[in-house]
Amino acid sequence: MNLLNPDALWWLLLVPALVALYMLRPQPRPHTVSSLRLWEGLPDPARPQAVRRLRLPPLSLLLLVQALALLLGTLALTRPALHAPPPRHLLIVLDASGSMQARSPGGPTRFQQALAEARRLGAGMGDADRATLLRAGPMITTLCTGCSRPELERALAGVRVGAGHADLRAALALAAGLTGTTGATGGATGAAGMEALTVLISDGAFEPGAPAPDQGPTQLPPLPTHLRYVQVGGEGDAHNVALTTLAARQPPDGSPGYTALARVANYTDSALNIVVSALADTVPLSDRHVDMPAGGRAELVWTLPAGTARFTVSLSASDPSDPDMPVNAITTDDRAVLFLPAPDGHAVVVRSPDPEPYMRALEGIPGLRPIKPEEQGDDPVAFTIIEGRLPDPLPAGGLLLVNPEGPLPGTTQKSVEDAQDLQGVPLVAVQPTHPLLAGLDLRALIVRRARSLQPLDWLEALVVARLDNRASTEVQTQTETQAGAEAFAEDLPLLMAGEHDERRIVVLAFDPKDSNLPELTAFPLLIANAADWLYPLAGVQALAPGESLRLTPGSTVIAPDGTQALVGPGGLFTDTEQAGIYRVLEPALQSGGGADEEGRQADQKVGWSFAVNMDGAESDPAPRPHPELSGPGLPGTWSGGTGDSTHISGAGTGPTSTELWTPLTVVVLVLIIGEWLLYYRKRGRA
Amino acid sequence: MKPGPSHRLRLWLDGRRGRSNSMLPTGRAPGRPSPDERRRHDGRTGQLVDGALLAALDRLSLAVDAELTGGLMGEHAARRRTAGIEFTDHRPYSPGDDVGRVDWNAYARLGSLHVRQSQAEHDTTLYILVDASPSMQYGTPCKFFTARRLAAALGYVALAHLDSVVLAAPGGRFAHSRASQPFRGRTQAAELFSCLHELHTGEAAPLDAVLTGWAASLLPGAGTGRVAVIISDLLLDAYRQGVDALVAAGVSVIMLHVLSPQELRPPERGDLELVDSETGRRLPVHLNENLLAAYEQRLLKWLAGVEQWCRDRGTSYVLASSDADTTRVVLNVLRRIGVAMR
Repeated sequence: MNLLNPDALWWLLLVPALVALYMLRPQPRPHTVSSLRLWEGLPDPARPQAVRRLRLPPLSLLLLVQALALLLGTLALTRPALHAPPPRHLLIVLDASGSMQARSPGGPTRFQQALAEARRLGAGMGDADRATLLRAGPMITTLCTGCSRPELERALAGVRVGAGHADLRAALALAAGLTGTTGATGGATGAAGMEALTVLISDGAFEPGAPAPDQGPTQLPPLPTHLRYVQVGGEGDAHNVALTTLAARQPPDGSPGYTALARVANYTDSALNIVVSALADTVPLSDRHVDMPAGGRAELVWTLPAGTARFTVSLSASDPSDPDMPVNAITTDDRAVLFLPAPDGHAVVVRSPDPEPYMRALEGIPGLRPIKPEEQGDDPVAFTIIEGRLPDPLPAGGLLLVNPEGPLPGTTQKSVEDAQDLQGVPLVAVQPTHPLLAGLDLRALIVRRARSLQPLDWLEALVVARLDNRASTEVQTQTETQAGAEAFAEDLPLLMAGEHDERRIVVLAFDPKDSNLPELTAFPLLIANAADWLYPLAGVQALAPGESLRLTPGSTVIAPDGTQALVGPGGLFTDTEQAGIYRVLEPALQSGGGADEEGRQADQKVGWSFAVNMDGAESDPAPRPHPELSGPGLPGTWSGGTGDSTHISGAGTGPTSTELWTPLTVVVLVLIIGEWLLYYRKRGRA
Repeated sequence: MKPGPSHRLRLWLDGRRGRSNSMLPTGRAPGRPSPDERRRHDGRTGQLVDGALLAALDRLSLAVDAELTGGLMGEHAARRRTAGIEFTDHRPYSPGDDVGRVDWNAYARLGSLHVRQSQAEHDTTLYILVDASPSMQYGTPCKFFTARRLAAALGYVALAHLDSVVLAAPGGRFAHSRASQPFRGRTQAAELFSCLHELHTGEAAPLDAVLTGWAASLLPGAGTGRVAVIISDLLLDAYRQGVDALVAAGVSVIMLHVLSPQELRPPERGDLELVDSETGRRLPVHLNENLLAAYEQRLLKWLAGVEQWCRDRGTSYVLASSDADTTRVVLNVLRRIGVAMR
C-alpha cells in the first residue's frame, strides 16, 4: 500500500492535541442549590485536585471514538492506495466474413464461437480496462470504442455475421491506428496511455498474407504490437459445398431471354452427389445431378425462358459412401438468386458528339438502355456519359466524364488544363485492383493527348501517364499502395474515379479519338466495368455482400432477416451484408427494370427486389495457416490464457493504484455520527 | 351523604381542565407520562388541586372528622365537649353549610337563610404560612409547588369543617386580591385554590414578621383552638421568634418541613460550582461520595436540631419530601392538629 499524499501525516498532530484537550479539566458546571447553608464548610479534600488545570486523560469512549476518527481521517487524507494492474485497452477484431457462418452439425457457428471467445476476453477485463470492438466485414464497423465490460457485452449482443469477405487488412491497420502501436515503432500504449492488446478472432479462412481477398496478394499493413490471433472453427466445419457463382447474360445471337451460368464447388475431401435445382420465376426447371470429386468444381448452364424475371438456383449434396457424413458447413451459399432486368431496363444517357461507340458498348450490357439526351423522359437514369463540355448543372446520378471541359464537381475553379502531348509516355495502372480495371489489358493502349487535371482529393487516379519516364512505352502495374496517392504529384492521370456528394464519378482524361481505345477490346469492358461501378444494379440485379447501391431517397429497404432501413437523403444504401433477397419500397412509381408493380403498398410505395448472393470466395471454410499473424515479440508483455482464449493479465507499463480514501471517509463519517450520538446520549443522561 | 366538591369548586376545576397545563387524568396508557404529568412532576407549573386529590381529601375528611372536630368544636359530634357552644351570632347561609343549623326563625323574620354560630366555631381559624422564598423553587418536584399543594389540601379540609382559613406567603407575590382576607366555608375553597395557584415566589423574607403579626392580632388567650401550619424549607432561621410568639398566644403550631429529594440526596457528581438560589453566592466543590457523606451527615444533624427545637416548644414537626404523597402528608398533619387541640 502506498501513501499518495504523505504530507497529510502532519494531521496526526491533532491526536495529541485532542488528548491534551481531554487533559484540561473542564470548568465546573454551575449547579443551583436551594441554599449553600448545608454545603459551606464541608471537608472537600478533592477540591484542590479539582482546581488543578490538568488531569490525566480520562479513558472515555468518546475520546477513543474521536481519536479513531482523527486517525482514519488523516489516513484518508494521505490517500492510501493499493497496487493494481494498469488499465488496459482490449481491441477485438471480429471476423464477420461469410465463412464464419460455417458450423459443425449441431454445433455453434464459427461466428458464435468467436462471440463466445470475445465474451470470454471481456470477462477478463478489469473495471479500469477499456475495450474496442471492430467488426471486420467488407467494411470495418466500430461497434464500441473505449467501452467498459458491460458496454462490450451489449455491443457483442448486437453484432451479426455477414456473407461477404472480411477486410482484415483494413481492420488490422485500423487497430494499429487505434492502439497507436505498430510493430515498427515498438510502442505499447494506446489511447490515454493504456497498454493495448489487439485480438483477432477469425476462422483463418483467408489466404495467408492477404487478409483482403479482393485486393490480391498484397503486403500486410503494419500490425499492432500486441496482436493475438485466436482461431475458431476446426475440422468439423471445414467441409462445404457451395454455389460460388451465378450469372446471366443475354445470348450473343440476340434472341430473347437469358443464359444463366452457375458454378458449383466441392470443398470437401470426398466425392459427392450434388443435386442442383433451378426455378425460373416459380417454374421449376429440371434438376441437374452432378457427381463431383473432392475439391472439384462444375459449371452448369441454363437457357432461361424469355420473360423470366427471377432465377433461383439451389443445391443439396450427399456423400454416397457415407450419407451421414456432414458435407455442408455453410447453408447460405447453397442458394443464389438473380433478378433479370427487362430488355428496356435502366436508361443510360449518352451526351457525346459521337455517341455510337458508347451506345454499342452499352447495348451489350443486360438491362441497360442507352439513350440520347433528347430521348430522355421522366424515367430515372442509371448514369450519364458526358464527353466534352460539362453542362451546368451536371445531371444527377453517376457520371462518366470523357475528356471533360469545365470545372469538375466539387470545385468552382478551372480544373481542366490544356491537353498535353503524351507521345511515348508510359502508362501505369496505379490501382490495378480497382473494379474499374477488372479484366482490362491496357498494354496496347496508346494515348496521344490528354488533359491535365488539377488534383482533387475525392478523385483517385487509376491509370496515369508517367511523365518522368518516357523511355518505356509499356503499361506497367504498380503494386505499391502509396503509388496512387503520389500519382497526381508526378504523373498525369488518365483514368480516375471517386465519390463526390454521394455519387460516383469516373473521369477519362483524354478524348478516345486521340487514342486507340475505341479500337481495343478493353473499351467495351471498361464501359461495362464503369456501368457496374456507377450503377451496381446494372445487368442482373444481384450484388456482392457489402456492395453499396444508390436508391431513391426515402425508400425503405427490407433486409432478408426482416429488418427495415430507410434510405437517407443521399440515396446511398450500404447495408447489404446479408445474403438473400432485399425488397425496396420506393415512395413513388420510379422503380427501374426490376420493379414489381404488384408490390404497390397502401402508402403508394412501389416495391422491387434485388438479391445479394454470398461471396464465392467465402464458401471455402478450410482454415489456412497464418504465420504472419504471430511471431517473435507477439504478444509481448501480455500473458496468454488457457487454450485458445486470451486473458488480459500481467504487468504492463507499471502498476496503477486503487485509492482507499473513499471507504475511509465513509468510516470516518460513521464514526463522527456515532460520536455525536454518544455525546448526546451522555449529555441526556447528565 | 358523601361529601364532594361543591358546585363552584367543580366550575373552578372545569375551568382549569380547559387549560393546556391541566393535571387532570387524560386516560393515557400507564407507564408513559403525558406532557402534563411531566410538568406535574417538575412541579413548577401545572395544577395544584385536581379531582383525584379532592376526592381523596373528601374521604380523608370523613376519616378524620371525629378526631378533628372533637378538638376544634366542628360541626360533627365530638367525643369531648368544650365549653364554648353558646350562640353568639348569625351569618348568611352558604351552600355546604349544615342545614340543621339554619335559624328558621330568622328566616321567618328576614326572609333569608342564616345559620347560627357558636363562640367556639367563631374562633376556630387555621393559619397557613407558605414560604415563598426563592429556595422553595428548588427540586423536582419543586418544594414551592408541594407547599402550595399541601396548603390547598389542608385549607380545603379545614374549610369543610372549620370557619376560616388565613393564608400568608412571606416573600411571595399574590396575584389574587382575595388572598389577604380570611377564607370561610367550603364555598370559598375555590378562591383559596386560585390564590395558591397564582402565588409566586419572590424574595427571601423572614417568616417572623407574619407569625408575630398573627400572634399580636389575637387577644391574650384567644389563640386556643387556633392552628398555624408553617410550610417551609426552614433554610432561614428567621421563623423562631414568630413561632415562639404564636406558641405564647396559645396557637397550636405545626412545622411542615418540606425538602426536595435532590436536597436529601444530591444526584450530581463531579466538579460543580454550587450557586445559592437566594443569595447567588457560588461555591466550587468536587462532589464525590466522601463529600456527599459529609453533606448527609450535616443534613441529618440539621434536621434533628430543627425537630428538637420544635419539640422543646411543644410544636409538631413533620418532615415531607416534595415528592411525597400529598394525601398522606395531609393526614399526618391533620392528626397532629387533632392531637394538638385535645
